[in-house]
This record gives sequence, structure tokens and C-alpha cells, in this order.
Amino acid sequence: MRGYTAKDYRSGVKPVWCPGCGDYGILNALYQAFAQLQLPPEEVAIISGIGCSSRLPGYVKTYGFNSIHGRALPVAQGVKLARPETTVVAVAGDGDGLAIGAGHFPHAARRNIDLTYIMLDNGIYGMTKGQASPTTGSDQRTKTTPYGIVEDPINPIKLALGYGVTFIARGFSAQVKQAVDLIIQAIRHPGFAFIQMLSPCVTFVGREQFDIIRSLAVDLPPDYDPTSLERAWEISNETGRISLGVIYRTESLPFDQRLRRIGELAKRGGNHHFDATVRQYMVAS
Amino acid sequence: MPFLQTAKRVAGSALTKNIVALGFLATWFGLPPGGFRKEIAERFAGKGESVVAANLKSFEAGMALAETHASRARPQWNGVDNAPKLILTGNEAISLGALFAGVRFFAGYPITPASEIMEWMARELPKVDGVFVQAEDEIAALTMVIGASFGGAKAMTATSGPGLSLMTEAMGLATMAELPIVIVDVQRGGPSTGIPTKTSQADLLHTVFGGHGNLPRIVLAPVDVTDAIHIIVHAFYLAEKYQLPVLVLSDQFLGQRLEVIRPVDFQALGDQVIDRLRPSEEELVAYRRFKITETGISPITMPGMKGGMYTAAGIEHDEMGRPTSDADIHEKMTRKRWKKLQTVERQEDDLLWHDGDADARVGIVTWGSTKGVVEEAVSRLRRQGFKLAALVPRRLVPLPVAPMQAFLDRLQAVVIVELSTGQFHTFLNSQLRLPDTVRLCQRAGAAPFTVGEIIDAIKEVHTA
Ligand SMILES: Cc1ncc(C[n+]2csc(CCOP(=O)(O)OP(=O)(O)O)c2C)c(N)n1
Ligand code: SF4
Repeated sequence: MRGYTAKDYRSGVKPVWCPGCGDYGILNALYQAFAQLQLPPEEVAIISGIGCSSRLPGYVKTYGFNSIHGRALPVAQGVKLARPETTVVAVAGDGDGLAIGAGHFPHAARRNIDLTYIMLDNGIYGMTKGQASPTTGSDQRTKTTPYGIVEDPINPIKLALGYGVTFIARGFSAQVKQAVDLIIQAIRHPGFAFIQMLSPCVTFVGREQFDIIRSLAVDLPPDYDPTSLERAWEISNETGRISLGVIYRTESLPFDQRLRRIGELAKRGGNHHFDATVRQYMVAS
Repeated sequence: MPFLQTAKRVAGSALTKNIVALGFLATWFGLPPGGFRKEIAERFAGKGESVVAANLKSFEAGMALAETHASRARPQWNGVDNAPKLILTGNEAISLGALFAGVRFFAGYPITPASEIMEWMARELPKVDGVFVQAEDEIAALTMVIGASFGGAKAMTATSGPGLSLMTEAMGLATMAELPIVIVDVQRGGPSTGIPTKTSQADLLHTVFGGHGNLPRIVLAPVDVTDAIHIIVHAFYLAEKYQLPVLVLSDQFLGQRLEVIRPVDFQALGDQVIDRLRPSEEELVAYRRFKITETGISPITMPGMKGGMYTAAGIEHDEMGRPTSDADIHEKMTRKRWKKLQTVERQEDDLLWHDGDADARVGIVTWGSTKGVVEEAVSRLRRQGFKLAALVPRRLVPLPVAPMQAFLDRLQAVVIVELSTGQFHTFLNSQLRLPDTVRLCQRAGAAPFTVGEIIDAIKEVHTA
């Protein structure tokens, strides 16, 4: 039997994305990562929220769920817990994942559910045509920040470190090969894996967003040790430079294995027939 | 009855007044005293002989008290019913019924008075390899449930008013993505935080009409603890069959009260434990997840099924699941989703609870746990010669309009009983023609109705 190629994961639905949108690069990286991992399409589920980025599942011939704004993570966790055999990838925008849905991030992290969370970060609300997002830079003018921005931006890598995420990486949609590699590592990671994918919005931020990121981006050096939490914090604090690669990884029991332990404890009592459960409520007269 | 004085007289203290009352009631109901004496002796054994003696003396004194009032009318009693019984709360009944129906995924967020369901699931689901998650909020709870259902599991959550408000956006997602889910709302006083520990029936319009867009859903309401088991099993049946959200409206009064009930015939309920419709081999060849059908129901796949890949979405989509903003497709797909409710009305049990005289001209309509007082009021008044009929819909959406209208058309007057400021009346008015005389029996909630309140309301229209 011939193996899967990247083409096998194309759904045939034409993306609504603007020409040149960064999200194309991430989509291509996903096709290639799935092909390299030889994942049967029916064993993959891509779960998103709402936004330009969240249109992604429709473009992949796997199972998919384009849910509601901010809820990619809880929907994805539900899928994974119901079907642990499935490879689950959650996709969100920066507004989706860091504004309306930000509350789900620490909880997905503390459960260490075995899924890959890709945040397509363009620093803007693309779908709603150009309002400020939680990662909009402080010097940026947007439709809702005509005089400049009041809030400081969120640093997703710092958040992830603070939340105890067990795999943290940063990629860039213009560096597809590296993005493929990061996705593969994230999928292989047993536990909750987070990738911040810088994915420019050419329409509402502008083409120069690519140039700016390119001018600041550096790959983490080959001798970088991603198991060092201290180094990871240093990277997360960098200014004037954007490091790409696996920033941090550590091991912790994934949620399904924790659940298995709970199951064993619960079953110590013996008989779990439904009749026995009913009998707990029986009264003899 | 002078329980207090009797206790002081025979035992020298007011402490044993409840035991005096126990002795009184045992004799009043004609129950054999042996079991009580034994129980008293055992219960107080740890407190010393003198305490046991005082309590036994009080029990005897209570019995004697009943004898001196022997001439008074006593309740009819057909002897001791030795059949086995179940003793449980409405929340336990819902949990037990859900387990029987095959629930294997529960996500929830603690809230009074629904938390017991969640705690029950935390204890019982791991024993059957089910998954329990304490979510970070109700939005997460329901969206996890939706994800689990997409993954093929029978999934539910339970909450109360504030949580239901947070879940409303996601409820529409389940409608749009056509995924079976069950939401239990154990109503409490509202709005806002309201009175968390007290009952109410004021989430009705939220569950029946709430949510943005054209949003078909099913709403069921159990009337007592036994019914809670039947209704939750039926809720899973309907959810699985019709692939949409099913809401079960309970309330604090039903959820947290203990009832002694006859054992439920679970075997008879077995027919309602079903799985969603899966596609055939041929249907998988060019699979259309949202295929338009006669019934509105389309075969559904889940991750792991070869050839069944599709993208579920809250965004409008065509039969294949591809996003669209085309007006014609939107019209067709909206109709497809509503068609499921028409199929329910046509094919499913209408779940009406009836009581009283077929030829009565005065009727009472209520819903949910308020059925209890209405039943009692109707029974007392009928014994006094009143002709009365009561009707309680246990399925509120889709409401069984035809049989309910037939019932109302026979009446001159109807009493509408509800623990809300008129939501049930508004709802009935939106679906049915009411008789000329309508007596509203409404309170905001917190305390359940008394039988007296219902009797007074009925008498008003019965003499009018
Ligand atoms: C509850 C809710 N509020 C608001 C919206 C409108 N909305 C749609 S997408 C979006 C933000 C999109 O930005 P982002 O998540 O960064 O994704 P992008 O489009 O940039 O990829 C908003 C506010 C919505 N769909 N639902
Ligand atoms: S608006 Fe921006 S994010 Fe959305 S598709 Fe266009 S370029 Fe991409």
C-alpha cells in the first residue's frame, strides 16, 4: 500500500483567506507534517474556534470542527477524552485563544491533555477586519486603537511557561520546513503541546509584517537545551529578537494516563454492574 | 397534640417530644410497635440505660395519646407495604437514569442545587471507564460535552440558571453541528445569583426560546423523582436519535428532596437506550454528513470511521458540511434542522400526564415538580365532589399541541400554576388557545406551593 502524501490531506475546499495570508504557510506545514507522520486521515481531528485562522479545519481532509469563538481548546479536549486514539490538533487565533478563550489555556495545560495547540498569531483580529488583539504591539494603530494602544501585549510564550505547558515552541509561517518539524514534535509529545505560529495578516496589518518578523527572527542554536526552564524564561523575555524553535519541553503524565489511575482506584470496590448501583438506593422494609 | 407536655410529664424533659410524636403516629397509622421499640433501644444504647428508658416511656405515652383520640377520623391505611423501595433524590434519580442511558462523558462546573449530579458522576463514571471532568467554567463544560459527542460519546452536563446562561451560545453550536447532548438545569431562584438554595420555575422561557438564531432544541421536564429517571433516559434517547441539544428542566425542590419510590422497571426502559444513526457502506462512498432527509435526521460518523471525514461547524454549511453564506442553502438547512422537531411530534410519545374527570369544565395546567401539589389538590377537591381535570406536559418543546388543545377546548376555565411571574402562561399562550376564564396561580418561587394555595385558586373559578 502506498503511503499518504501531503496531497491526500487536501479537502478541495478553496480557502477564503486573502492572497498572501500567513495562514497558508501553516496549512501547508500541517499537510506535510501529517504526511511525514503517515497519519490516517480518519484518525486525525482538527478543532478550531472562530476567526480567519479557525477556517483551517475545513481545508484539511481529516475530521474537523470549526466551533465557536474562543472554544477550540475545550471542544478539542472533549474529542480527545472521548476518543483517545485520535490525534487531536487545536487551532486558534490570537484573539480566539488569548482574549475570549484565554481562560481555557491554563486548564488545558494543567490537565496536560495529549493534544497539539497551534495558535496562528497575526497580532490582529483578521476576521472582523482589523481591530486590536491581545498580541497587538504597543506601537500599532488598528481600527480600535486609532490613537495608539492602551494595553500592553500578552506574551504567549511567557503565559505558556507560567501555566506549566509541557511543550512550547514558536514557528513562523514563512519558514514552512521548520514549522513542519515543530508540528511533528508537538504531535509526538505525550501531553499538551503549544506552538505559537507567527502568521502575518497581510490585509489588516500589512505585508511589512512578514518583513518585520523576518528581520527579527533567529533559529534557536543547535546547542540550545529546551529542557532548561531557566533558558526558556530567558528566551521568552528577549526583546529585539524573535527566537524560533522548541523553547521548552518537559515530561509529565498525560491526562488519559492520570484518568486510568483514577479508574483503577474507583474500581477497587468490585462489582460495577448497573444493578449494584441501583441497589445502593434500595430500602428493605 | 400535646407532645411537649407529654414528654415533660413522662420523661421529665422536652427532649423526647419527637419520640412521643413517633409513638402517636405509629398507633395512628396502625403500625406494629415492635420494630420501633427495638430501633429506639438500639439508637440510644450508646447514651445509657436511663436515656433508653426515657425514650421508650415517651414512645408508649405517644401511643396512649393516640388511643385517647381514637374516635377521630384516621387516615386509611392498607397495612404495611413490604415491597422493596428505592429512596433517592431527584438529582440522584437523574444521575442513575443517565448512567442507565449510557452516559460516558460528563463535564460540569459546581453550582447549587445541581452539584450533586456532578459529584455523583465523579464517583460513578470512572467505574465504568467513563470520563468525568470538572471544567473551568460552564462554557468549557458544555463545549467539552459537545467535543465528546463529536467523538462519539453519550455526553451531558448539569447546571443551574447562571450556568445555563453561560452555556447558551454553545447550545446553539450543538444545534448547528447536529450533535446529541443533554443539559440538565436544576432551577433555583433568579435572576442573577438569586436564591441558590431555593426552588423556582423561572428558567422556562430561557430554555424554551433562549439563544440567538433559529435554534431547534428539545425541552423535557420531569414531575417527580420516579419521572426524573424516565425523563433523563428519554432525553438521551431523543438526543441520540435526533442529534440535537435536549434540555431537562428540574428544580431545587425536585432535585434535592428525598422520595421513597417503587423500583423502576429498567428493563422496560431498555428500548430507549439507543445509539445515533450511523451511515451505511454506500452512504460512506460520497458521504454527506448533513444530508437532507424526510425526518431531518442524517447519518453521523465520528473520528476513526474511514471515509466519514467531515468538518462539523457552527457556521452555516451545506449537506457536505462546507461553509456557505448562500440564502437558499441557509433556508434549506434551517428547515432540515427544524424538521427534526416535527418528526418528534409525529413519532414520539407525547409525554402528557393526566389526572381527573374527562368531562370536567375546570382544568389545571402546570409543569415540572409543581405537579405534586396539583395532584393532591385535585384529589382532595374531587373527593369533595368537584369535577376537575389536570394536565401536565412533560415535554415542553416540541409541545404536544394537538392533545393539549383538545383538553383545553373542553374547558370553561383553566388554572395555570407556576413558580414564576408568568413564563408558563406566556408560553402556553404562544402555542395554544386558552379558555375564556384563565386563573393565574403564580409565585416567584423560593417556597414551593402549598396544596391550600392551589385549592383556593381552583375554588375561585369553580364557583364563578
Ligand atoms: C462570541 C463572539 N464574539 C465575537 C465574535 C466576532 N469575531 C469573530 S472572529 C473574531 C476575532 C478574530 O481574531 P483572531 O481570533 O485573532 O483570529 P484571526 O481572524 O485573526 O485569524 C471576533 C471578535 C464572535 N464570532 N463570537
Ligand atoms: S484578513 Fe488577514 S488573517 Fe484574515 S485571511 Fe486576510 S490576511 Fe489572513
